[in-house]
Amino acid sequence: MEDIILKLEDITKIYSNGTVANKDINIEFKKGEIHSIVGENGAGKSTLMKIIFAIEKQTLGKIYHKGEEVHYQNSMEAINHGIGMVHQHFMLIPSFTVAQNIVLGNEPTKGAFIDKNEAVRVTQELVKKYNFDIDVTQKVADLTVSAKQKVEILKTLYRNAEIIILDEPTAVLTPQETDQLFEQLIKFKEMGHTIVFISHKLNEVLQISDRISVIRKGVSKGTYDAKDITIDKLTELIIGRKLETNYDGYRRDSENHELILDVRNIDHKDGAGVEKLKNINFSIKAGEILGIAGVQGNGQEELIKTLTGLMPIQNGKISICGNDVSNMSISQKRKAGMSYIPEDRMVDGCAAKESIQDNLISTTYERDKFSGKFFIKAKSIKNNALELIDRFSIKTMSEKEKVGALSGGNIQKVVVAREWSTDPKLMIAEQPTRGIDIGSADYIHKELIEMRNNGKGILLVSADLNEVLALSDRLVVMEQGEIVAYFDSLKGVTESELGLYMLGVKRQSEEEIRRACYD
Amino acid sequence: MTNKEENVVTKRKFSWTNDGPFEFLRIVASVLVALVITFIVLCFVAPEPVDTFIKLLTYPVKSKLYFGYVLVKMVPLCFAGLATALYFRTGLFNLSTEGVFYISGVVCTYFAINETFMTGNGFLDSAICIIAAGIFGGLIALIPGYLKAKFNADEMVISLMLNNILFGIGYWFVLNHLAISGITGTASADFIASAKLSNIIPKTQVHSGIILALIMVILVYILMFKTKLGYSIRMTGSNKSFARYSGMGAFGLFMAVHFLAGFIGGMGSSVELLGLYRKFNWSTLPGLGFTGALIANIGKNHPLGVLLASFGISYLRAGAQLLANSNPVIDISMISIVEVIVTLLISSQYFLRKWRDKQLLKEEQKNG
Amino acid sequence: MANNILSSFFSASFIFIVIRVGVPLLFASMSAYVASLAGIPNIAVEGIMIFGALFGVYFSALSGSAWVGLLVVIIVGLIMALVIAFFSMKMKADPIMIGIALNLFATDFSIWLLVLWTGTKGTTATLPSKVLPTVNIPIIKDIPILGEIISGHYFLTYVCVVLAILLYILVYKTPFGLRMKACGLDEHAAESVGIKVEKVRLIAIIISCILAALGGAYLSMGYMSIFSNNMTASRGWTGIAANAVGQGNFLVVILTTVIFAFAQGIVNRLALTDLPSDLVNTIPYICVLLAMIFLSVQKYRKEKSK
Repeated sequence: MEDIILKLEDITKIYSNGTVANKDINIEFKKGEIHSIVGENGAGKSTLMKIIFAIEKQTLGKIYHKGEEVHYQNSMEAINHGIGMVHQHFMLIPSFTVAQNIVLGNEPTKGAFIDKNEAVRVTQELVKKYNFDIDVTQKVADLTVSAKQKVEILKTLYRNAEIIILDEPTAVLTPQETDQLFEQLIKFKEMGHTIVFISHKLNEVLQISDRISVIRKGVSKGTYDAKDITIDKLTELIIGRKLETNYDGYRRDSENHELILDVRNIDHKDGAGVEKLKNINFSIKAGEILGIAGVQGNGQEELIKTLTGLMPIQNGKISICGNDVSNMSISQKRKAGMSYIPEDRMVDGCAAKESIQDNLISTTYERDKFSGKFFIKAKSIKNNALELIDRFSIKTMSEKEKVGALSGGNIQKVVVAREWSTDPKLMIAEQPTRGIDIGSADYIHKELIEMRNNGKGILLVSADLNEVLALSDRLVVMEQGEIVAYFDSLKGVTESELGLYMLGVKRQSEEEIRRACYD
Repeated sequence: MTNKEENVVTKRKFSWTNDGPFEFLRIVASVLVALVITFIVLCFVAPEPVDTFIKLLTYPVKSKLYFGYVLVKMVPLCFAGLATALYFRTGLFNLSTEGVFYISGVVCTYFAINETFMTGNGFLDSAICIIAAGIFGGLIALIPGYLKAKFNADEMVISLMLNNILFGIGYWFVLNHLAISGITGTASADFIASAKLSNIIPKTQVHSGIILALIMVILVYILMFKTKLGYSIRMTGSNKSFARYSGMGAFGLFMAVHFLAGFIGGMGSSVELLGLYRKFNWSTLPGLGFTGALIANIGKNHPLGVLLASFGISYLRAGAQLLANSNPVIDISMISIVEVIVTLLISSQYFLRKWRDKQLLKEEQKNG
Repeated sequence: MANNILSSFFSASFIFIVIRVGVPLLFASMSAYVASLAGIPNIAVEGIMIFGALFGVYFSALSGSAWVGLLVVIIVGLIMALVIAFFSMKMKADPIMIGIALNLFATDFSIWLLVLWTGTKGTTATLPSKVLPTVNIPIIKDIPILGEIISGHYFLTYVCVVLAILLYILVYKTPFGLRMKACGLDEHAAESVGIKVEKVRLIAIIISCILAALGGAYLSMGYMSIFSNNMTASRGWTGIAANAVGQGNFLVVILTTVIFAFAQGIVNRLALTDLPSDLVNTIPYICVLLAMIFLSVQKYRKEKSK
């Protein structure tokens, strides 16, 4: 068994707040294989990788490197033992050149000085050896996302990584770039590197892997040869029992069918002149959920920022209930009936150091219910908080508790409760259940359905295909800043079919896409 | 919806690890540490350290006159602390209170020495001077305010430069327009009697300015916690992008906060002048920009905290100043040891954190 | 008269004055620069300058040697660095609050020390303090104009120039400089390649505080031969402003400092005229203010065009 390069034995990780992220995980990585770790969001994949890379320390269990037990104290030691990691969020310094980023922390020197020429030469050699296509004297800030990822990979190679861990590397890539990455990964494998590939995209995993290990709720569910396992079997292993992703039983027809949101001809170019949105058209009626599916970074963020007013509109027209709101500010749009669950609840969604009751009125405090001309009405603010805490089952000791003291799921409930309480016509929900526990996620899903039943129009943007498929009445797929597909019913639409549109393999005709608008 | 019983809101039991009590504990501990270090320093320099230390802490309560000093010294600190707390609550590191104090004092003097503005009614005349100084202070504060609100300019460096500029202009104005050449030297002419604030406690220097300070504490409290503006101040200071997402406009808010803080600064300046001085004779900046920041920080940017902090610092400073007459090693400036240590410890997020974690763990274990 | 003043701005002696008033500004700018480069802004530059100025004078008087005074100045810088590093990294205090607290402390505490050491509050005039020597560079001093400009400055002037060159080399040519920049730009990225961020920052803060302390020593042991209250006159803050304008580019920081020094030099010249000195004294501050406004308007435009 000497081809086993890294072995995890009974790895258990319990966080100080009692969360069990990993339990008794056993995985063996062989030299020269592509080994995927799959599991749902929050299943414990990232924690496990952090343990291997010594960013976190396991509570129990042992790690063996080439048969020897190791106790890395920090990432530096892991790096020195030939382990490299490509983080999901790039660890690059934009104002440095590619070469500088690669050699940082391990610079070639001439005397006391950095040998710039040597740094460029060594990195260029590396680029040539692994057949990358990058100018190492360029600044990282000027690179595309996929080129940045290549720099991250080069960083690990520069440090002679034998094991390269890639955390969700394809989440930010286009299909062509993904194919290119896979070609490279296979080349690395042939050169003897071990690739640890973390993903929840099963098609990709099956396409690239030699072996696949499944993690569910922190527990390992075995390692399988990729050629011996089907996508159905894998899905079952990941999800366990077929999760109830069907909310059809909760759906009721709304009495209201007025046109809520109408979006016409939206374009957007970023500072560098790159087209981020191209001719976006769709509409939403009362009593329905329109889902937007797509790989992250295909224009969803720009679309939402334009819709909500966080970014000025460049071209096109947005109407809410027939009123032109294109050039309105956020607060004006909110008054016109918009509400918005933001993607990052800690950045935009709440003030962590302030009380729950204050957080619950940030978008409504100017209404007569909560304030007069100058003063706020303390009593009704408190009652509002008590009502919403009860209505949304927010677990807390007091309405005066700081929001930051709550769990992620409960913070998200505070956000949803607040946006719900504005009694909107249009609800924009961006990744409404990202990174929260399944119970809270299920709860929020049901609330969204409930709002739909009560005649709201809902725009749901999510990278989680399960979520989009389970909740939406109608669906558009975005790819490279464009709508490439529209489904007016989700009956019979499968994940893999959507995948083809998301990855840019297929594209509907203009007429079909046009149907996303009600005329 | 479901399981209502489970999340009925219950009253929390008291514990030193709860946010409020823990914060109180930290402040008390910081003050203790600071006093201990002050004592140690005294051991090196004073011949009778124990005696000196005790005197330092007890001198102000020895007589009514002495305690009066504490109250009098507290007034400008309280105003400066309130103004700065308003900035800090909004997330602004503006230290212009110093310059605003100076230039507003000049404006106050301009009115207080000029018969044409005075009616002879004591209340009215004081009010004219104070309000004029306040409005001018507010307008001056709008300079860094506008630069911040519109261009997101670094308010700290700008406000410090502004302080020096305001001092230069103010001093020049005093010399050339408020002083009577050849008679008053670098000071202004005397204030007209009716403009001055009256003494409210006989046999002390305590003047009605302290009442104004207390009123301002209450008003700022109401502003911060009972009004819409205060609500948006707190949310913006706590998380700016959350405020933006919620639809609160930063521009108007920043302008309003700067004006109000400038107003409070200008008010404090005129109250100090009209309460304690016969004429304007400040030849340096008063140093209230930094002290105000200190007091706001120790008082956790809360008006009542500011009141307590300004009392505490004023108490120690008064003790030191009173003792300085008879003791050559004591000076009011030595209280800076206490001030710096308390400020550093209170702004340290990790101060006593380990202790709290340990207590929490114990509680957890007790509850299973 | 006006003509006279104008022409005096182009004389060698004026350049000499600009260098004289520019050195403490440059110490302050470099101090602010190196700390913010590593990711911990040093707001306490002004306060450390005050301490440097006071301790240098006191210990030179005590020992009878300016060099002992200078050594103490460096130790004072080191101690202040350790305080800042401890509270910002180990206690997670806001560096801005640390800076505000230390500045106020330095202003007041130095007065108390004056009281203890001299019995008065104003200056150290009664102490037999020493000044660091003036250096005449052989050969160069005999060259007309050039000799007049660059020879005959205080010892610390040349130290300042040497340190500026060394700092440039450190930041732009050595591995440590690259790592320091990385820590300032993205500490997680720096950490992920095994850089010990705290250690790098500690060293940067030490360099920063020693530079500031030397700036103070220059003021009291050269520029003047005593310590007096408020002698730093916001020079520390001017340095912080110059660093802000430079936005991480050392040469721009230096250039900005030079412009500020010229403004100060002009003020010193104008002080000899009968213009109102209180207003003239505000010129350098107005320059810094305008520079800050210029910087933020430029940033604002850039962001808006995005």
